[in-house]
Amino acid sequence: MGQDISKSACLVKIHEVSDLFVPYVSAAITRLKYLHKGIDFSFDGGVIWAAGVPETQCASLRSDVAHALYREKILQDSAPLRQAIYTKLLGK
Amino acid sequence: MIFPLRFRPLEVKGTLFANDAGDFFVGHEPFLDRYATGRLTPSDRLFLERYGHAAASEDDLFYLSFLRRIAARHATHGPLRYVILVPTLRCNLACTYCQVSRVAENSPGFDWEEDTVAAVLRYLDNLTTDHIKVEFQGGEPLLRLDLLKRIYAFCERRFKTAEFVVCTNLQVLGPEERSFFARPNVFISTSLDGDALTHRKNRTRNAEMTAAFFENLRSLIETVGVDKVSALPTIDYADPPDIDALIAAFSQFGLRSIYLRPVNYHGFARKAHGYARDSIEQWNGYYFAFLERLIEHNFTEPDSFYEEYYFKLCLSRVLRAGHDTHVDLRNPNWLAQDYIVIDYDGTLYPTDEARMMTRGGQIDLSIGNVQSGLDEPKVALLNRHAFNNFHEDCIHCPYQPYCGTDLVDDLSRYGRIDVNKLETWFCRRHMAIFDRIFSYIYSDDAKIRFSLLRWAGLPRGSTAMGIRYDDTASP
Repeated sequence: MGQDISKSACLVKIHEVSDLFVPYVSAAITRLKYLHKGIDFSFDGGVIWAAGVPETQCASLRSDVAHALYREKILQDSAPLRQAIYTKLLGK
Repeated sequence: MIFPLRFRPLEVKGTLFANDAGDFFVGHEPFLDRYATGRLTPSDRLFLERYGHAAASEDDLFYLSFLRRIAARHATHGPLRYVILVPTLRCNLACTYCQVSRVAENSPGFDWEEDTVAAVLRYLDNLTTDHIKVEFQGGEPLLRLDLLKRIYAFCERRFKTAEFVVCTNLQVLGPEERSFFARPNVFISTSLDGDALTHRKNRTRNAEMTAAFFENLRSLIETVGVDKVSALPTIDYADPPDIDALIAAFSQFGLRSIYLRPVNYHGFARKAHGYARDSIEQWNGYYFAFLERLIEHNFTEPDSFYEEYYFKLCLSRVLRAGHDTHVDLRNPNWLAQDYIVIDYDGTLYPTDEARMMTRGGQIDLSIGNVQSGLDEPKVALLNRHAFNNFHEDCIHCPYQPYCGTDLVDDLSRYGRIDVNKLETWFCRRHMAIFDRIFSYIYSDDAKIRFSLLRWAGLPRGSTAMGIRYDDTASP
């Protein structure tokens, strides 16, 4: 699907995902779809693709996608520590 | 261990990082990349340890200090000690943006009945606190000054300390009202929408009543002092007042704290000002233009220094924990725990806005009656949404420790609370305010720093308010 869709004028290669972030792609795309209604994100061939992106928004969208991956990874990686902190705070 | 960091790119100056305790610094994208990918350098770790973002173990002082700072960021509630009383729904004005669906001055059946008064007194008597604050709302509460006096007399006997705020339009101010206001623990809150023309357009609708209000406000301040009077403008931001004229309107009375409030999406305003549902950009535009004008004014005329109350509150919440008394901006925002509203018919509400929504027929947010007691299951249901900590949007937001929740506002505008938080009025308003606060904190502009330091309660000449991590030297 990846190479085919890349030929489409309305599909943009947004972000090459390193192996480190692959486990977080699904969560990031779910959130990106929620934040950017009207843009269809997909993951194929190690790349996050976006359909329906105005050319003028490509640069900021690339940054948004990278940050979405960062945020999901930080959130998931820090979840045990955050849970421990709030458990201790609540005295449980 | 590194405590979880949330981040947000700022328009200039780099990327803001903040932890769950609200400790913040500005860094750069390469640091973010190293943090997210687990490749922090020794200098990164040293910086994070130095500024309270890291600990060696769960029993070291840095960890316990972090826990304490998180706890301090959360509003606590003691016993219920703040009651908003509505002795009458009748009013002698019909403002275009009235939020409470008031009724005409001569309408019968919209005052506390005698058995309701008795129940209110019993309710107050049963409170466990020794310190009470009573806010009289309406309608126009001065139409039932007799009831205000009865509540006052009871509270003076019952509580160790009692404080009263009368929210009044000050259209009628006779000797009895003046005498009541002269009591040292009675404060006055009124509306001043700008110059006489603006005030008339929004509120009084005629020159005579406008003149009466301005004269009453002037003479009241002369009598009781400016410190006992607060005046708040409600801004019809589809047709807002000239900013300089608005400041001048407050200046003539010596009022230096101005709390800009947008027309709310409640009561009559839902029809008369329907634009208020979604027009946050319009509001933010006016609000920040006003703020910039204040900054300019304060720098050029420092002897008449002004603050915008809500911006100062948000700034205080960024810089310090514990600013949790403003019930529209706190986390958790417990409902019906430390304050409550008792309506003209004895119905209990968690907030004044909940009262407005119920009366407007959007949703029944009543939580009991002063005669029969609190609807505890309903209160518990509402309080399931008191926290912002783990909301799926707020969990990523560095402003979460400074921000709050307002499910009543979400219900009012969208009819539900599970909307995209980032698209709500509440979120977009506060995102813009906190963005502005951080742009000011990291600004080198002398005019901005002059106002910001005073609003923050910091001495003149204070240096950096925010920490920067200049990691450009890091590998």
